Amino acid sequence: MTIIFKKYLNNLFVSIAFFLIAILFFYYQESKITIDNLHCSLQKEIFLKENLINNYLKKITDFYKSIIHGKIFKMIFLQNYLQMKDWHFSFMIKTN
Amino acid sequence: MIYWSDNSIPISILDTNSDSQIKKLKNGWYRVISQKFINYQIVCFSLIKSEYAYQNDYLKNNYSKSFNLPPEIDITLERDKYLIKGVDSRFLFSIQLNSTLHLSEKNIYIILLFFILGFIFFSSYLFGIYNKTKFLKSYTLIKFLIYFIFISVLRFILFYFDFPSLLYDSKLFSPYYYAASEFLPSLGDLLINSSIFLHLSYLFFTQVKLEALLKRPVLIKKYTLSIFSVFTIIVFFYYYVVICKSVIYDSSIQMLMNDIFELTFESLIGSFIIFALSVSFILVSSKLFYLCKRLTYSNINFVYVFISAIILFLLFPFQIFWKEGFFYPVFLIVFFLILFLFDFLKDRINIIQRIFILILFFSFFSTFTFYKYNDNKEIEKRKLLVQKLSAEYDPVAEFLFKDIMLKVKSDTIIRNQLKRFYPEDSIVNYLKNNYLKGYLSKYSQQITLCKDFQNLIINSANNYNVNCDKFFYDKITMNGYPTQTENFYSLDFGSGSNSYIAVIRFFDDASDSLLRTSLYIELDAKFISKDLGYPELLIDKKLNLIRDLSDYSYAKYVNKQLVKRFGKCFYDNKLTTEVDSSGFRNFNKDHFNHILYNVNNRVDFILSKQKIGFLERLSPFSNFFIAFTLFLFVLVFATPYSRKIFSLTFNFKTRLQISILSIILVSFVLIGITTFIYIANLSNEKNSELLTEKTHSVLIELENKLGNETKLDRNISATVNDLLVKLSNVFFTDINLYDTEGVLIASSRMQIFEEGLISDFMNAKALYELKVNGKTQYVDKENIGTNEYLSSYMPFINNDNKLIAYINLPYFAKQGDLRREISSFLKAYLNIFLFLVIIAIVVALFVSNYITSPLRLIISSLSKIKLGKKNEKINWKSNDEIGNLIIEYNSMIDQLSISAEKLAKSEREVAWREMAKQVAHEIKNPLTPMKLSIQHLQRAWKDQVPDWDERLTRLSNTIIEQIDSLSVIASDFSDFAKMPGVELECVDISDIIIKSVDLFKANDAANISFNLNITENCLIKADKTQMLRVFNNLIKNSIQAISDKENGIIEVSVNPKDELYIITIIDNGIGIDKSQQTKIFSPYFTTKSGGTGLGLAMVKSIIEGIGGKIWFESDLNSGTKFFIQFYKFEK
Repeated sequence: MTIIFKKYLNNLFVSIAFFLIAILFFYYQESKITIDNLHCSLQKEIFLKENLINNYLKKITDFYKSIIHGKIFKMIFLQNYLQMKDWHFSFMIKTN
Repeated sequence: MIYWSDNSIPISILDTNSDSQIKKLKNGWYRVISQKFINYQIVCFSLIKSEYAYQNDYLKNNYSKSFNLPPEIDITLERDKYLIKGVDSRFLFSIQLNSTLHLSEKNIYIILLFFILGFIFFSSYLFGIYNKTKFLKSYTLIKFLIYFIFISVLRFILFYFDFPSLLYDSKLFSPYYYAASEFLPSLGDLLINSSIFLHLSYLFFTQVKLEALLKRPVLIKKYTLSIFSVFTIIVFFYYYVVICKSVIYDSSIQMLMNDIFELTFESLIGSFIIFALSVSFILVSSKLFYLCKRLTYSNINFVYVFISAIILFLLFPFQIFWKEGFFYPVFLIVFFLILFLFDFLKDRINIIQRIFILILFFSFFSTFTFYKYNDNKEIEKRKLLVQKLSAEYDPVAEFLFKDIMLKVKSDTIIRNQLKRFYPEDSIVNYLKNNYLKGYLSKYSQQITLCKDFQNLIINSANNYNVNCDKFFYDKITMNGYPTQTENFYSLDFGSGSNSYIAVIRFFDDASDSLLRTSLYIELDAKFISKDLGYPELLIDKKLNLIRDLSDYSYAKYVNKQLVKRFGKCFYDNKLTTEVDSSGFRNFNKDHFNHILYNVNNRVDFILSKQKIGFLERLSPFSNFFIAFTLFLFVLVFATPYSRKIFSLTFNFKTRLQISILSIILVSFVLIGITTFIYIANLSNEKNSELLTEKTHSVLIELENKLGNETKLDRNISATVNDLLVKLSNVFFTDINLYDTEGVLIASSRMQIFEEGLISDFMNAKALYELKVNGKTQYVDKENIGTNEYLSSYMPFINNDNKLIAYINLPYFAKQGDLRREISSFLKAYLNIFLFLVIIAIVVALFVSNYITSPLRLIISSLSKIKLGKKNEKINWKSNDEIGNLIIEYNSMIDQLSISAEKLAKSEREVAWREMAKQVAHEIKNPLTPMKLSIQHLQRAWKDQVPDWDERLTRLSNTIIEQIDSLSVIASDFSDFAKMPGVELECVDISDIIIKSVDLFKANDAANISFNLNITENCLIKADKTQMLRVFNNLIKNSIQAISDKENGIIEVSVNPKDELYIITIIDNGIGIDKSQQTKIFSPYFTTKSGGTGLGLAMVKSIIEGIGGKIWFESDLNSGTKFFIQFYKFEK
């Protein structure tokens, strides 16, 4: 009998492993979708994005401070448009 | 504004002035960061969450991808518990939950997968242990049935208590996708059930030994069993069809098997369920079929059994099976024929070829079922749709009015004008220009204002006065029907045109008598209109107004005359077809399938769907074939069969087939990918060109109308809007007009801009290309929500050659057509591809057979070569490499026969010498004691010894014993010499064993019991007498090994294993010493005092002479097991 139990033990282990994965995955996912966790991750992402945007804004202003000529400003800016498409944010420039 | 990066943000200049860090624009929430430098201000908008006025397939209220938040979380500007702050610690916004958070469907699928796998492995474990227990050991079928019931009960308990509950909270386990009955209430349940059923069928196929049922059954039992087996197969097939039908008919997933590009995870689950049931059916039915085949012996008997089973089946209430037409019984018969074919060509088709044939069969079957029920389902759906259409007339207008009526009611300009008694014309114009344009301009509009108790002068022959409100009240009560929109009625004057009346009452403030006004807006559709179609993008899915009519065409007939049509189909002006008694008629005409619906005596509706082309019809077949093959791969690699496949050594033919197939597959895939890329590019180019041409046509038309203008701006947008709407109806496209700075002037579809789906600013890149780079046209991909479309731009130059605007044609209304075009090409390609692959597989089989046939000829000739016999030469005419090989072979045969003759001669001499030596030796042994005994007697006689009598008796006994021994030696040698005279015939080995055992039972072994575990009809090809000698010898040996031991048991069993019979003879005798085990089959080796040592040598030689094998296992003092293996008899 012990031999039989041992022979099929692999199947038992595999089934326990699958059930465990299902349960752990469930608890992991459920813990991830609490409002507290989501709040934290959103706050983190907002900070990250803001820093990113500020960096870009700084780069843009630095670049244009060096060539302050209205017409050229517009053209060159537009020429760089393609590279800016993947920023996941849009921006506008207006005169004061 | 001097620059904007894109047109996705519906922002105005005013929005950029405020300092707020978070903005709620019309299409979502944005984080706004602005920075000033010198004379400029740069404002950056980062999308936090899209939030549209309504949602549909393209517009969804989701968070920006990087945030990865569920849409259940709302953003509010009030300070709540969960505050979000900026880097400078300033409060930005709060978040709050609007409903409970649920696991995403994707995560639930993952959990479900692990749960099913866990359950199946646990069940395998349970069954493994249960199967090895002694309980009902010999009755594997009953044992399996008990287990089947146990698992079914377990599953029912889980189902009853909705365990695991988290799964039952999901859409998959709700009736959303599928619901058939109380026990099959959801797609998830059906998936679990079919997976478990597949697992149980696998256990039945691999673990249940039906051979026990073949044990000496009486004739009646034999036939009852056969009929029951075939009956079970038929009943299984019936339920298989019922569930396949249900998966297609009772589900909302539509299977989508005709369009692999719209394949969803749910439709994959649907096809997996069909696959699991198909495999279960194959496993169970093939097992039962072979049992039945063995029980019935001959094919004709099987046919009788089959007919009896069908009669039995007809006695049960399964008639629905036959109502579905004769197709399913034909499928069943074809399936049986396939099983027959597999049985008949047992050696000639391998497992891979069998699988290929079965996949082909079941793909064909599933495709047939899919069309049979999907077509029915589509026609039912269309009948409903045509009824709805005939009742609703214009869902888009109804939808639009819901919003318009609210806006008009709260419009302060109208309210003010009403209070101040503005002329009616001014209010009417205001309404027409601001609310009743765009889509509604296809209606002729009549607006009437009814002041409190005012009378209305009706312009008729008599010009009579009537109370205004009463006039409309009567009109509505006599001819009106309520629509989904409150206070918006459809009017049926029997003219056949769509007429509506909207009632807007400004009665909310009763004290303000000036406002006691009712506004009646009458809409009358123009005759035989053909709509441009309303973009799906602008329809709120929640209202469920739009039924996707893009695949359909419809027409309305009044008094059999065409009054309205929509879609691609060109209807006749006069209706000639009549409906049948059901009020409907389904007919085919001009490549369309039409459903005619008779609304009333005068009005008829036709809803039509384009008939599917032959190649498209084949789509589900290819998709099922590919899906089944993939599922099978996964399944095979998940079971122990994968080990078998990996351990297979492929022969030359298979290697050749695999090589040919791989080359064909790789080349097809490569050609497919390049063609796809080429066609996709070509199609994009074609569409760009088409769009450019269209833009050009619109431009020419606009130049005709507005060419004299010197400046176009928002001041004249109302006029331009009307013009654009008219042009859009002529050119079947939407048109936008931007000023030279890229700001919107007018549009044929203002709603897009009003709803804030895109901004009033033009695509920045287009502006740059046209304005700065001076291009004359520009085409780019743009998107609104998830809807991507082509958009074409051109500069608009007036008659004075001055640039006054930019014209833009966004192609989103036709984007669905474009997608369908590419998808139908890919479908056609995939079908051709699959068919070529199937043909390639068949060709590969033939080619490899053709190439390897001479090799097989040589192999079979080589295997027939026997020394000492006349071997046949091969006749081969062609002078190729194979021809040379065969010449070599033939000359080898000649040399072999010469050598064989020489060898035989020398062997005979050696054998005779050996034999003579052995005979002399064997005879000498008893002769010496005989000589000594006689000499002893002589001496005793001479000496006249007193005990002469006693000595005479003793010594003569010794001499007689020696003479007996000589006789035994003589008969053993005689037996040995007789061996070459064999007559091979079909013998039942179990008969021989039983006879042999009976012989010993009667004579030798009173203290020995025999256990027989023998199945009848174990046919092998052998010599009957020799076989009897073999078993007599072996059983005699066993009896001698037990000798005087008490409780001696000899067990003899016959077990079939694949193409073999394994016979086991086990005794609990003294066993064989390890040192002697290697010599046991050598001639003249014996452990017994009176043996010649020829017995086991003879046994081995007989068994090996007919291709069998003998071996043994033995432990000293505990017994010996002899194993004999024979090949089953094949006709």
